[in-house]
Amino acid sequence: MKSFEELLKFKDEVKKNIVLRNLDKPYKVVVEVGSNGVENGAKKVLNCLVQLMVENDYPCIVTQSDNVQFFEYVPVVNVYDQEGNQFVYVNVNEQKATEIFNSHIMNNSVVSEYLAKGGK
Amino acid sequence: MERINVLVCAVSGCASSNSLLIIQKFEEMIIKYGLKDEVRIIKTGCFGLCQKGPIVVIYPDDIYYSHVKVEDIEEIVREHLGKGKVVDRLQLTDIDQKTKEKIVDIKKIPFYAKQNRIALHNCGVINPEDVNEYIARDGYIALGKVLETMKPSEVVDVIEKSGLRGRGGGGFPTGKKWHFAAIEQSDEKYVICNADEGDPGAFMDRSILEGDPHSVIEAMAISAYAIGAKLGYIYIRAEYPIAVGRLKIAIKQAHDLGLLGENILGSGFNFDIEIRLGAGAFVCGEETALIASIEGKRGNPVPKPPFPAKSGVWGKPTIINNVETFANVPQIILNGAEWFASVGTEKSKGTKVFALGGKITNTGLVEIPMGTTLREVIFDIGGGCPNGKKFKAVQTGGPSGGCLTENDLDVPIDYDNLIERGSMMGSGGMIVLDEDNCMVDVARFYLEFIVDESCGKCTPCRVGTKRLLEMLTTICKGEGTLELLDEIEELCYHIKNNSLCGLGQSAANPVLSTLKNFKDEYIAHIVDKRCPAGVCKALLHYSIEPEKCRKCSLCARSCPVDAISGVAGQTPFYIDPSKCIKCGSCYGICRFEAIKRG
Repeated sequence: MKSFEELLKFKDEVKKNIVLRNLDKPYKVVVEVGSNGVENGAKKVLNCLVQLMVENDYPCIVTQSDNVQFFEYVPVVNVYDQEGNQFVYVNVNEQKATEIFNSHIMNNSVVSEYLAKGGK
Repeated sequence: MERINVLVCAVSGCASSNSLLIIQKFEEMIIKYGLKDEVRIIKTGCFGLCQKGPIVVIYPDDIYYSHVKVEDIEEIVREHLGKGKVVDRLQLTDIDQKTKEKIVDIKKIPFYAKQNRIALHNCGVINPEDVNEYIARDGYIALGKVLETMKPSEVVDVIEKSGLRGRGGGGFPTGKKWHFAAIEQSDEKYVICNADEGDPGAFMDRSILEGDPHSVIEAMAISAYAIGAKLGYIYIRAEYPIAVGRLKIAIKQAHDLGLLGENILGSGFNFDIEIRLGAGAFVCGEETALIASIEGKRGNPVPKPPFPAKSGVWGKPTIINNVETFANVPQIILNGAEWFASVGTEKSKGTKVFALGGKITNTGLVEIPMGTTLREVIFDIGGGCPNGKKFKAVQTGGPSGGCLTENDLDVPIDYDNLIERGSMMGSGGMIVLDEDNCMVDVARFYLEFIVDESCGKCTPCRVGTKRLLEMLTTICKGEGTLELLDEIEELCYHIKNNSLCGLGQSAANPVLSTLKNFKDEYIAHIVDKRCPAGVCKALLHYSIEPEKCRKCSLCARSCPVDAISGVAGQTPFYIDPSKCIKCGSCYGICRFEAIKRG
C-alpha cells in the first residue's frame, strides 16, 4: 500500500471478513429451522434473508434456531429490536421474507399482516 | 453464502488440549453436512477462560462452548450449525449467585462482566494469522494516522498525556521513556519489544503475541517514528514457538502490504523489525541484560545509568517496552489520550492484564481496569478458591513480588497500592494460594527460582540468595531457630540494597512479605516443629487412628514402600515411621478419615 488513503480503502474492503462477528446491529433476525420448519421451506427463507443481509451491507444479524412455534405456523421468522421487543412472523416464504426485510429491517416498519396473532 | 463464523481458540493453552485438531475436525464436518459455503472456521486468540478450554465461539449466535473435545464436533455441526439447536451440555453458562438463575448471556457472566479489553482488544475476535482481519478492526490505521497527520513529538505527547506506564513490572511512564530517547541526537536509534516473559505462571505477553501480533508490530512502528528509529527487535524466548511463528507470519504480511520496510504508506518513513530468540534466562527480561543478549553477549545486567534511552543496544538510544505496553499504543492513538486516561486510577491509567493461576476456579487471562480490587478479581472474576477451600494469600509480581493477604483484598489494584503493601504489579502473574499452601514453602519456591536464575555477576544476589535459600530450607526441615528469622530479615535487606539489577534487588520480596504477613507460620515451623498447611515433608507425621480404621487394607496396598502393616479384616493398620516416606498416598486414599496427618 502506497498511502494512508489506500489503507483506508483497503480497510473498507476487508471489513466484510469479520462482519458476522459484529453483533451491534439494530435488529436480530432468527429463522426457526427445526425439522418442521425445514420441511416447509425454512431453509429457503433463511438463505433468502442471508442474501438480503449481505446485499444490503449487513444491516442486521441473521441467524437460526430450533423450532419454537407450532407446526401450523412454520416457517417462523423472529425479529428482535435493540429494546428486546420480539416480532413473530409466521408462515413466511421467500416473498414474505423479502417484504419483511425491506420494510421492517430497512425501514423500521413492521409488516403487521404477517405477524402471529397478538403481534409481538 | 457465508452466514456463520466458528472461532476456535488456537493459543498455547487450548492448542495443548487439541484445539488444532478441533479446527481440522470442524473443516471435515462442515463438508460432510453440506455447510462448507455457509460456515467459516477461524483460528483465534485467547478468550480468557483457559480453565474451560478448548473454547469454541459461534457467531452471530454468540454461543460459547467450553471443554470441547474432537468427538463433540460432529454434534455441534449437525445440531447447531445445521439445525440451530444449541448443544446445551457444552454451552458455557454460569449461575447468578444472588438469584441462582442460569446466566446464558456471555457478557453477563461474572468472568467477563467486569473486564475491559484494551490490550486484548483483538484476542478471541480475529485470526492472528490474517492481516486483513486485523486491518478490518482498524489495524494499522493508528500508524497511518501518525505518519499522515502527526509530528513525532506529538506522538510522544499523546502517549505522555495518556498516562500509560510500563506493563512489564517497573511501571515507568512510557511517554517519558519515549521522550528521553526522542531528544537524543544519534545517527541510529532502536526500538525493542521485551517479550522475555519469565515469571512463573505468567502468560499475558504470550497470549497477546499469539492472539494479536500485529498490534505489537504496529505499536513498534509508531514508537520508532516517535523517537526516530529505523530498526526494532522483538526479544522473545524460544520456548514460545506459537508466538514466534505468528510473529514471523505477521512481519511478512506487514512487509507484503508495505506496512513495514521502506517508505511506509508513502510517508518516507522506514522501519523494519527483527526477531531475536532468547534461551529462556529470567535475567534477560532485565533491560540491560536483554540488550547484551541481543548483541550476542552473555545476558548479564550492567549498572544504570546510562539508561537505554541514552545508550542502549549497540550503544545507541533505545527504548524497551513490554508486549502489553505496546499492545495499548494503537488504541491510544485511535481513541485519544483522554479516552485512555479516563480508565483507571489517578496515577495508574488504563487496564492491566493478569494471568490468574494457582488455587482459583477460573484459571485464565483477564484484563481489568486499574482500580479494580483484588477481591473482585479473585472472587467475582476468578470464582474464588475451588473445593470450598479458604483463601490464604495472593502472590503478585512473580519472584520479584510478594504475598498479599485477606486484609488486602479490598485494595484497588494499581502500581502504588501494591508496592505500598509489600508486593508489586510486576508483569501480571497472579497466583492464588489457599489454606493448603505453606507460606514458608512458597517463599522457598520463589527463592529457589531466583537462585537458579541469578546470573551470578554480583555477590549479594549470587551468594546472598543461596544462603537465604539454605536458611529457609532449614526452617522447612524443622531445624530453624528464632534467631535465624532475624538473620533472614537482615540478609534480605542486604540483598535488596546491594544487588546490581532489579532481579537481585527484588529477590527477597517474597521472603519479606511472607515474614511480615505470615510470621506465625514461620514460628510454627520453628517452635512447634509443625507445618500448619501440611506441606513441609520433614515436619509431617502420618499415623492411623485405630478406632477409625476399618481394616480394609487399602492404605497398605497403596503404600509404595510397604510402611503400613496389619491384617485385613482383623487388626487396625499401623504406619512404621522409620519406613514412611511421607508421600501422602495413604492419606489420599483412605475413605474413613482414619489417617492422621500432623
